[in-house]
Amino acid sequence: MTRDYLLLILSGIPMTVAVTVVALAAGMLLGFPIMLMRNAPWAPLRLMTTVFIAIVRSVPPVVWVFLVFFGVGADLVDLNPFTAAIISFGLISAVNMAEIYRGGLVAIAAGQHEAAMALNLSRWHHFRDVTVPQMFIVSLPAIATYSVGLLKDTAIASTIGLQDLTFQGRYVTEMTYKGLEALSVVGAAYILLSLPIAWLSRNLGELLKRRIAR
Amino acid sequence: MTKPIVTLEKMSKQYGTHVVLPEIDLTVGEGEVLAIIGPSGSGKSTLLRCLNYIEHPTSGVITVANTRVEVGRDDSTRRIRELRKNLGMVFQSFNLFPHMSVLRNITLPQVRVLGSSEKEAEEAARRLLDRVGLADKADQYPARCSGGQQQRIAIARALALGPKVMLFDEPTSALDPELGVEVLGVMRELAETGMTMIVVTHEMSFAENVSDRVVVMADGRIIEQGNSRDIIRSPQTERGRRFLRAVNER
Amino acid sequence: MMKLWMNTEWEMIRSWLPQLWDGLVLNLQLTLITLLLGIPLGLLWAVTVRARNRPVRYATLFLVEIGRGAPALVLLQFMYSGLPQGGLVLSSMTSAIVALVWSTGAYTSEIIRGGLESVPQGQREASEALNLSVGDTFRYVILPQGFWVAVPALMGFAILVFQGTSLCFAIGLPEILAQANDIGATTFRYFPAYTITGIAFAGICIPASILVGWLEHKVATRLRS
Repeated sequence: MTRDYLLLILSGIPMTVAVTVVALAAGMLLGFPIMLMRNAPWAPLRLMTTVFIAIVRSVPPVVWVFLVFFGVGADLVDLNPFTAAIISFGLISAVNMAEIYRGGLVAIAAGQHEAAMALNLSRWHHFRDVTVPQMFIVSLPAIATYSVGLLKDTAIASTIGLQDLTFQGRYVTEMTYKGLEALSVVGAAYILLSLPIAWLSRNLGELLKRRIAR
Repeated sequence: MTKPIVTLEKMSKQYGTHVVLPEIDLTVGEGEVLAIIGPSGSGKSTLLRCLNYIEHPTSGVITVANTRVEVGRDDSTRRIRELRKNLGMVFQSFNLFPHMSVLRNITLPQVRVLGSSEKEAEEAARRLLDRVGLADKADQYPARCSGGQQQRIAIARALALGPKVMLFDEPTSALDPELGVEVLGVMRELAETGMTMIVVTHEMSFAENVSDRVVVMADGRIIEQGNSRDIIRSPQTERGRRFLRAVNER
Repeated sequence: MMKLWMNTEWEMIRSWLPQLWDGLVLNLQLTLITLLLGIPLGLLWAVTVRARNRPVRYATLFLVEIGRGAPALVLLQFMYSGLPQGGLVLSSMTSAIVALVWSTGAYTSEIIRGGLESVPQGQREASEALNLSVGDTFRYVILPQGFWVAVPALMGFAILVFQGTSLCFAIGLPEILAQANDIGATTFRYFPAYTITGIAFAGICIPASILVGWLEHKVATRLRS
């Protein structure tokens, strides 16, 4: 494989990373209100959110991507592949984050809440200073695992023309007929990209714990 | 002492740089009931677990009945299996197979290890269950049995393979005193039939009244051994006195 | 007027259903084949990844890391468009099966290994003390207990496999999404076509997820007793 083609394939990396990061950030932000709605005291809201989450998670990402790009994109608004990708993956990741947060919430030891109540903390402070930080820390491993999955899922956006790693790989394959080499490079690139995230997931929890007084 | 049936020569065990057993020399006679007592961390359980190679000793020679194992030099898998043929083990946490009925817990090893037929294995199993007083539990699952019952079943399971020596690793430590009494009763009956037993235990009355000989361990060494009543009533060493005083004052 | 439009829309959508149904059947078949081949492969790799034989261990590790680390789409393309460079040309269906089985084997090997390792150490010690052979210990003691633990996760994964089969349109398999693409391209009615596809997936995956949740609950209570 010539150097030029190799570089061409790797030129797709920034796009892959960009979509992953933006979708993840959007998801981590939006996941929070969704989680709150999922746990709302008002039953109808709770039910609607549960159904919403179930629907988003049970439809394959590629179908969402197509729905947003071709469906919404063609009829309502003019969308480019990047925007369509961010919207679909942002939605999917928001819903998954909501579930991860919910799991983290449950995992906080009961003693924490009891201590906060005994200390007479206001409900707001209880939530903001005791619950939320711990929910976040407990969720970190799950968030890291999810990020790696999200990174790989973004490859789907190549099918709507996003010029990411997978797209470039397919392009080079069609140009050179050297699919074996090109796609091996693509696969290796994804695996290497996921390594820092895996490292981060293992150590971020420890790093954060050390910063927060025990 | 009767003819020795278990001999440990210069057996040691270390994990990396941490030495748990510097060097153990021990002999147990046929039909003898030996109790091993001592403070936590003294290496009692490690000694027992090295005997049947659940933990691999670092050096030494282990002889059980006619099988001799030289650690590191002559300890092939086949040799170890020969060793274990004559050793039965009862664990502190019972370790029954939860996904099998009580009966199958006892028949499976017979069928797979001894090569018995299902019929023979079942007969032997029912006989043993009857002996430990649990004939009616045969078709139950371990989870439905109390701790004391589970331990008695574990004893039956070990006996089913016909070992010459039975090893007990703190058999009653995980049980309420009430349930422990059932198990100690079975162990006493076993001793009376002449079974050679090595028991690591905290139960001083068992050590004093049922065992023939007591070994006191501390910091990985045997600091005292001798006739049970003598050692427990009047220990000879300072360390031994310290331990038994604490025990007797509880 | 609205009613008339609705009727013609409805008629048109109804005409698509047989085609979409044929595609869906293909997704289901592919899922079944993938699971039947992939889960045993996962069990094999769960064992060989801890093998004492170093070449076997490393080979397994290599295959598992790639099966898990590469996006499914890339694996599919590799089989379909990559292998020809090496002289091996596979059909869409075969490429799909090989790629998905590889991926499934890799993921399920982790799930199953987790289950096997969750069996308490005391079980192994008791088996050793009883002189049960290594094979018998695995077959009668470790595997039955460990596999039970893994079953809910495996079923959850099965749902993901089903969702993943939708990617195979990219290598020419005429499954449901490919059919929807087809319909969209010819009628320019993308939104309804994809919506029906989405409904088809939701209609199967949501009940399946509820079933898996119930199963998880059952296994958890069974283990606690």
